[in-house]
Amino acid sequence: MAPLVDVRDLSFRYGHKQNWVLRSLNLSIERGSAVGVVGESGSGKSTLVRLLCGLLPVGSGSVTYDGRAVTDWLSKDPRQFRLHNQMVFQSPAASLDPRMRIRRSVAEPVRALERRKIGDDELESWLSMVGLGPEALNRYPHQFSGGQLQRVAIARALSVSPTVLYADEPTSALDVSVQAQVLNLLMDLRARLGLTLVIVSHDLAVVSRMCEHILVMRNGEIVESGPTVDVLHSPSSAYTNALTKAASAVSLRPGNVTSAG
Amino acid sequence: MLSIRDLTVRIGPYQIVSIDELHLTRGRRLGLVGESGSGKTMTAMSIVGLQPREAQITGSITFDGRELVGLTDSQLAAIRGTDIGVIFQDPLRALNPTMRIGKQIGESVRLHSDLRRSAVNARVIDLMTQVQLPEPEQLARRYPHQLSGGQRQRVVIAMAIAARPKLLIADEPTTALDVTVQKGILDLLAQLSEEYEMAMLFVSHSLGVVRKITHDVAVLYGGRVVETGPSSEIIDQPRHRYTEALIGANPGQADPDAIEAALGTPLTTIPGSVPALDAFPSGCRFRDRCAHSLDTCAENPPVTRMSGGHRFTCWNPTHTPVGGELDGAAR
Repeated sequence: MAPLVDVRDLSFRYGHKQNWVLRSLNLSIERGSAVGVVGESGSGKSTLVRLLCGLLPVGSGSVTYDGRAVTDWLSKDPRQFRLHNQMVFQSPAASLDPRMRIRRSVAEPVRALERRKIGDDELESWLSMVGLGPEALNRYPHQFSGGQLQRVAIARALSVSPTVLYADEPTSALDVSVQAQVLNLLMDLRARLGLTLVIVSHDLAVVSRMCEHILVMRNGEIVESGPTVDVLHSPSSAYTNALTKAASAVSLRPGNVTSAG
Repeated sequence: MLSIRDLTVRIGPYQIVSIDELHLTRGRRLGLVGESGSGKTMTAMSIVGLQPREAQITGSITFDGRELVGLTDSQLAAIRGTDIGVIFQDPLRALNPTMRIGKQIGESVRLHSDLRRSAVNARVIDLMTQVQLPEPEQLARRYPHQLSGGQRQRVVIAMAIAARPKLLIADEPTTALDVTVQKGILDLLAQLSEEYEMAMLFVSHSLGVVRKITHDVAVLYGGRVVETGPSSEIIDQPRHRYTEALIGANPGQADPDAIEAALGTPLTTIPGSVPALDAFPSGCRFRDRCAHSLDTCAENPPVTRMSGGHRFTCWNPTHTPVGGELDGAAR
C-alpha cells in the first residue's frame, strides 16, 4: 500500500535569499504509525512538520498526502486537507485565544472546516475524550493549568476527526508529572482512534517511548531514520550516536527504580 | 559552609518556601530539584538576596559562619560575584548584547581585583581557556549574538568564576541548551568545582541532570524539602512517595535494551497538577495527588532520618529493601 504521506526531494527556505532550512528530504509515513522527529534546535524539525501539515507552502520537491500533492490539496480542497491533518503546538496558552471561552475555541475547526455548528453534546464528548469535564466549556484559557490547556488544544485538533495528528514539542512546556499524563493521553487516543501520530521532540526519551519510527535531523537533513529500536540500538550515524550518549548521560534507568504498587 | 535553618520565604499571605534544614559543605554539589512552583529557585535566590523585593525572609542562612539573612543590599552585592557566583538559565539575558565578550568578562575580573589592564586581559584569556572556549583571543572580540548558546553559557560561567567563588549557584544552567551541548556544560561545571573545591547549588527540574552532576539532592514540593540525601541513593531508592512518583513519571531513557519493552506502554502518572499557592492541603502537601495517602497524612509528616544524611518526611514511605534484592523472587 502506498504510504499516507510521501516526501520526495523536499527543500525549503524562508525567503529567496535565506539559507536552506531543509535540504532534499525523502521520507514516508505509513497510515496508523507513530513517527518521532528528533534533532537539536535549528535542525529543521518544526519546519518539516509545518510543511507536511500544510502550514507552510512546499517550495521545491514534492509532498503528497494520500497519493495527491499537498499543493494541489491546498489550492483545490484546503478544507478537506485540514480535516485530515491537524496540529498541536508547544505552548497551548499561545495557541488558544485568551478572549474566547473554551466552547468557542474547540468549536472553531468544525465551524471553519465542516461549516456546521457543533453541539454541546459533541463538544463534551471530545472534552471527555481528553479527560476534561463539561464545566470546562464555559471557562477561559487563563482558568486552566498548562496540562489542562494542552488537553483542550488536543480536543480541538481531534474535533474534526483527523487522520494525522502532528504534535510539535507537545509536552516541553509542561512539568514532568503533567507531561506523563499528556503522553499517555496521546498514546491512548492513537490506539482508540487509529490516529497517525507525528511527534516532534528534542527529548529522545519521549520519542523512544511513543514512536516506533524515528527520524533524526541535523542541519536540515535527515541523518538517520528507521524503526526506533534499530536506530537507537545501533545508530549508523556519528550524530545519532552522540545524541543517544548525551541523552543517556542524564537519564534515569527505570530498571533501578522499584515501582511499589 | 552553607547552612540553611528554619528558612521561610513569604510573599503576601503565601508561604512560598519553608525549609527546616539544608547544608552544603566545601567542594560538594547539592541539587535542588522540583517542578514549577516548588520553591527551588526562590530558595536559591534568597541566599544571595535576589528574591523578589516583596518577599519576606525569616530564619537563618549562614555562609562561612556569616549570617546572610538581614544583610543590606550592598552587603549582599559584595558577596555576590566574590564569594558566591550565580549563573542563570538564559545566558543571552545575562550578557550585554552591545559589549564584546572579552570586555564583559574583563568587567567581572576588574570588579573583584585591582589588576592592571594588561593583567586583566591575560586573566580574561585565562578564564576563557578554563571554560574551554575555542580560540579565546578571537572570541573575546565577538558580541554575544555571534556565539552559540553553549558558548554563551561558557562566557557566563567564566564571569561567575572570575573571583574564584567558594560557592556557585546555578539555576537551570542547561535547560535552554540542546542535549549534546548540555553534556559539555555539565562536565565543565563538575570539573571546575573539583579543581577549585567550589561548592555548587544546582537548581533543576530534571532528576537525570541532577543525578549526573550532584553528590546530594533535595527534592522540593510546595516549598518544602520532602526528601534529601545522596543523589544516587535517592533516585535509585526513593522513600518519599512524591520522589517515587516523579521518577515514575519520567519517560525513561534511550537505553537500547529497554526501548522495545517500553514502547507504547503507559507512563506512571501523578494525578492533577501542582496546586496554586493557596490551594495546598494541610499536613503533607502532596497528599491530594498521592496514590498512597492515609488519613494521618492530613497531619504534618514526621522526619525520618537514615544513614548517610538521607532523610524524608512521609507517613507512608516506600519500603525499598536496602541491599540490592530489588528484583528478588520474594513476590
